[in-house]
Amino acid sequence: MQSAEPQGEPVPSGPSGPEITPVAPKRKFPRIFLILIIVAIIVIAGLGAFAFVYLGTGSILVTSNNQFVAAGGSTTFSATVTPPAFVTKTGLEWNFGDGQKQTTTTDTAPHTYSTPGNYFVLATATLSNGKVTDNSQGLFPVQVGAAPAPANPNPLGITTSLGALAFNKTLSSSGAPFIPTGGHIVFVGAVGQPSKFKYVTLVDPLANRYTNYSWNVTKLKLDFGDGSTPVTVGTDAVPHPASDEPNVTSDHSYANGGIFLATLQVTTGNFSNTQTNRTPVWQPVATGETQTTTVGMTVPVGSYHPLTYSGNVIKPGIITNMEAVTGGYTSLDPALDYESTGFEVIANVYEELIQYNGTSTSEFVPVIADQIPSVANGQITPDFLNYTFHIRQGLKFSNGDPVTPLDVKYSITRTMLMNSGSPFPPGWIISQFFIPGQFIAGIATAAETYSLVNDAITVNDTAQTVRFHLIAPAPPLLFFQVMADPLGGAIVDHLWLESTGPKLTWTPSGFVDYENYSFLKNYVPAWRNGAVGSGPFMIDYVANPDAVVLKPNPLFQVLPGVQAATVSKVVLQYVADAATRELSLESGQADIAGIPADHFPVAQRLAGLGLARIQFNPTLNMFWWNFNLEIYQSAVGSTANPYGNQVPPDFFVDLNMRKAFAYAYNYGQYIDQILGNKKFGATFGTPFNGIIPNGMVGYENLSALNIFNMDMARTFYNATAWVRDHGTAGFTIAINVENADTVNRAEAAAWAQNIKQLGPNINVLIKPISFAEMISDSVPHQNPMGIYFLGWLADYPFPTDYTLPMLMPADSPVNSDTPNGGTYPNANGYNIQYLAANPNGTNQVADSIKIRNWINDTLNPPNATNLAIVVDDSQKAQRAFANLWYYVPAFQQFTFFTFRTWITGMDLELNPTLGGADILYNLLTKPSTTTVSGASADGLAAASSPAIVEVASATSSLKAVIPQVAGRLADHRQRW
Amino acid sequence: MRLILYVVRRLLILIPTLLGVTIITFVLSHAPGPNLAVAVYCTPRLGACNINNPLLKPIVDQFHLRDPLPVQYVYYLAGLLQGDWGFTTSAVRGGIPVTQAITIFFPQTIELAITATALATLIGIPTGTISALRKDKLSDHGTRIFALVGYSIPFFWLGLLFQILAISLFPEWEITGGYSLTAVDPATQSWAFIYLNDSPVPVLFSQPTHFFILDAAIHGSWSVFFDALKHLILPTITLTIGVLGVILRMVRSGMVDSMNQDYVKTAWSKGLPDWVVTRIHIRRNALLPAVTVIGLLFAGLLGGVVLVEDVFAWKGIGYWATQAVLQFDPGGVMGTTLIFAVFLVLINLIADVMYAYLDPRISL
Repeated sequence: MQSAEPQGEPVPSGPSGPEITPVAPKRKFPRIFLILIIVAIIVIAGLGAFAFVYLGTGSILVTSNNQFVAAGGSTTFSATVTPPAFVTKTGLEWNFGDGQKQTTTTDTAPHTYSTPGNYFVLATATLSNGKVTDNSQGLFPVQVGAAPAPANPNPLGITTSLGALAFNKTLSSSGAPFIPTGGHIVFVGAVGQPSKFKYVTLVDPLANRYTNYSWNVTKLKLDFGDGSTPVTVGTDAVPHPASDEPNVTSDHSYANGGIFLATLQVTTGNFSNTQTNRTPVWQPVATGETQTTTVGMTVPVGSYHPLTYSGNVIKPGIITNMEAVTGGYTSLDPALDYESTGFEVIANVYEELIQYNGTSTSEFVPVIADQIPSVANGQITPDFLNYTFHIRQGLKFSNGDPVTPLDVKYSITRTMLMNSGSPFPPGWIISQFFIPGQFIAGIATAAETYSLVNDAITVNDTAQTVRFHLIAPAPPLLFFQVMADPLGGAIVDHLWLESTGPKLTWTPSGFVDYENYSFLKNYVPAWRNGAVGSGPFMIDYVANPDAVVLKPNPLFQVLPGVQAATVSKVVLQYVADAATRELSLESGQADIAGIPADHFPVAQRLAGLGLARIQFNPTLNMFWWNFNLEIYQSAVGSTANPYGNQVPPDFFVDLNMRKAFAYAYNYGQYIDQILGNKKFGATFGTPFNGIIPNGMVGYENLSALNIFNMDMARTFYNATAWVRDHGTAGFTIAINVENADTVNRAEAAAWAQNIKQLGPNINVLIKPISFAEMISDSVPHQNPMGIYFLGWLADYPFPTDYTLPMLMPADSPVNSDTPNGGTYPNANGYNIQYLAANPNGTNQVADSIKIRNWINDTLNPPNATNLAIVVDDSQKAQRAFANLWYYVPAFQQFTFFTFRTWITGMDLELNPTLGGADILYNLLTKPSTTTVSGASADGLAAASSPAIVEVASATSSLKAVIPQVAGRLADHRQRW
Repeated sequence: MRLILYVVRRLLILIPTLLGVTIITFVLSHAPGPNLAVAVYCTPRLGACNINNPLLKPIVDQFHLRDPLPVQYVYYLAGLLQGDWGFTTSAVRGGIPVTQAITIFFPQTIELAITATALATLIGIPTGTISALRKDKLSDHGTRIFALVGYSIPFFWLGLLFQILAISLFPEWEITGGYSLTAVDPATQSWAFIYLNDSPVPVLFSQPTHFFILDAAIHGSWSVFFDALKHLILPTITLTIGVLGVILRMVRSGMVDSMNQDYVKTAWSKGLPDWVVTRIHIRRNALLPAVTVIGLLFAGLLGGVVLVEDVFAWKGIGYWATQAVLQFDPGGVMGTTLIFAVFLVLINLIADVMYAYLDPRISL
């Protein structure tokens, strides 16, 4: 290496000094090599990082458009695969948890679950780098409910029993049903509803001949899904012994890993017979038919976990429900409140003589009473005029007062006395059995009031019974449904009432005086803002209209079918702003939040993140478009009609005109796009025709009548008397929709486009108005609306609650101010005599008379108590009505709950008497600790006891139900 | 003495003002007709929902719905003078007396309005002063931009944004209401509840002022006090940012104007200390227009910032007034309008008195 030092001149010699030894020059490291080394390190690191990333597995997130479907219904799953850099997804394999698998190339997979149960979905994506990624650590849960009840000649609908497949969590391997390979599960199979069903109907009074409908569970079969031998209890043709509830228990080990489908099959036998004596003997005369139902449950064996929340539980042990409510509740007095907000508090604080059995609306459990009355046990007289309830001993109200027969009489008496108040109370529901004309205000004298009301109920303190004396026979199903309604039927502590307000004096004048407390200006503050009941909760405090806070009732007595509260508080908070509710749900401040249907993607997003679950709830709420046959202040040309209707008042008397409008209505587009079933992948509603809703006894599927066909629409339009008389002059008609109802305003606009195509010069106005305006407009002979959108929420799940108010035409003089038809027919001019007097209406008179006669037959003796005849008459009436097209049906509503995943038991809230909006909080659980990790194996179901985990059996989810929100026109502001 | 006479004169003017307000509002709110007024108490199960239905007679009689409008107004006025301001059906479902609704909703709005105005004033005046003194410097530009942005952003958007930030950073932070519903305990906070007719069911209604946070402080329930204060933070900041800009700009422009006056130059040239010139000579004059604006802003906030109340589930007057209009509630419309009018006049009076105090040249 050359020296870097320059060569210098020789140094002259001089005096000697220390010798300087030249140092070899330092060799400098070439800068270029440093750079190369650094670059190499970077490249190697980059290659390493790339390799690390490239060879990673990425992630996959599974969501679905509907986590709750009925068996036979489909749901679509989506997998969002996030592969590593430079990697793509090459395939997707689905395991739906019910034994079905599918491979797709797209990210979505529709699937139909044929059997009810709880399932977990596994999606596995293969990647171009040779790796796979799956959601095995977050299996997606799906809850499949019972299939819609098929049409059945038996008027009571079902001859099958649906099983309940559960497991004993304590005795099973830890984490069940997610168990390790070699783990075991102690399965428990039971029947989800009473295993025997008997109903007697008198078919021939002269011969004293009865038909005894009788179904019994005969066999249970538990299959573990791994190829091992199933366990069977019972045989097909032999009814299970009356003394036992059928069940099957088995401890099964899974030797191999995988995702298995455990199933429980329940076989039911029909042992109906005919008896010609007064006391039927339940001997099967033949094996009869058998039917089998199946429920399933996914059992993941190996290293699997469900999709759930891991982290902090906000406010452990306290459930907060942020509800879309303005104005809070009207009253907490069961005799006065007639809306859903107050109903929810009342239903949680009070109890009734009997209550619905779980999700059923035709089966009951005794609560304040200790037995369900029947003719067989002598507590219902054979003429169905007297019902006796024996009061359960030892029950107490939350303040320690005992529950006595007098409390029952007192509560029902005041319900009747207050039934004519303002705001409108619910007392008419019970009063219809005891007061002619229903309303106390219609009784002429105090003496008569006292006689009717006081004599309606007899108390026997010795026998501890309460006996109701009806003015007309009522079928047990109907009477029980009414008595099970918290609004009007809740049992209140009379001692508390009298200590906080005026006493009820048991004299004629005392009764009349008491009626005054049903009017707003005389409301007793303590009754309005207080409640002392015997239910699972009591009120901690009220802060109307902000909130109501509940706490467990320490004196509550646990009964079969009525369980105790498991949380320490329930906060019902009324929040008007949807965004605030959604944020609160996302943060965990709210455990349950009301999300409007048009914000459904928010709910889906939260579900996809594993923060929330969505549950759809069937209801009996029905909505339709009304034709007004007598449009007030409407005339051809200029008019004083407030909504701009420029047609003659009898424009819609012509059946052809109504048919033209009906055929111009795009039913499918409405359900799929505007209501949003397909648009959002959800079930917000189902189509219907007739009036008896799906899930109510007597339902029949008439939706095939809903046909969208513009050619037929034009044909009918051209056949109208209007076109005959006015040619192509056209018309102007208005469609009224409630202000806040943006969905149906959009539908009205879509319908208007089609109506305009019926012929030239047709103008359709969309007129949003308030609900109050609609109510005030709905006056006989003074209804200025042409077409308007409204609905009905039932009071009780019995056909007459729908057929009478919606289908019953009046048969009154044309100018009568008090037509004798149903609620809607009166408001819409549907009057037989009006039709008969109109040349365009005469062709509808005969059918209308039949409709009226059929409905009257269901309300009056002798057939009012014969359920089979009531159902048959109701179905005939609705079929005839459907063919007359006085309504254009819109949808039967489903609501949905969105709730945090740490809440369990929501599947028990499927009784439609809750209106799809209210919740019984003793059925829900929330962790009482601040952290949960991984899955709570309880998954979708409530633990009814510490040992048994009831996986959702989806029992009777679509049986007859009544949303007892209010028996009034649907108010869209009410909680959805 | 002159001040007292002035105040008395202004209070007397309140009477014809309120009379005019009630007449106009009464006519407008009752324009839809009596059938609409009775509809809220009705359901078609009763038959016709109009004043002719005999089952609705008690309601018709109670509100004199059969009488001509002028007669109804006279009844209303008579009731007003006797303390009966009618019923409102939008505040609480079913209806409650308007006076009761005022005690429920107004304190909530006053709490919010006072804290927001106070905070905006406390920040706005010194910030506006500094901005003016450092005119055209970076800090001046910054504060002016902040004021503009704050004034421009819609309240509800700001409120939602703060809610999102709050729950992201502090998931347990409650973003709704004025207090934690689970922290309030009837067993230990008797001051917060009343018991109607000796019923054992507590009703939240704090004593003695009905201002929850104030009553908590009075009774020494410090955990509840601080909890309520915490709930006040987000809505207050939301409102403050909105009104702060106005105050800041008003103070700044007033200061800049005053700073250019000859007397200020004289004060500087006399060698007075900076703080004397700023506080005594400049700011005192600059505050005059700001005081008026602050008064108007406060009155505006008393009218209820509807969207903020909506976003934070803060049930104040704005929430009630909106529901009254949406639900055709004449009693609610009358009640809210009346209360707004009263407070607007009173606050303007206070602002005028403050004006006279600040500027001796002004004679009342």
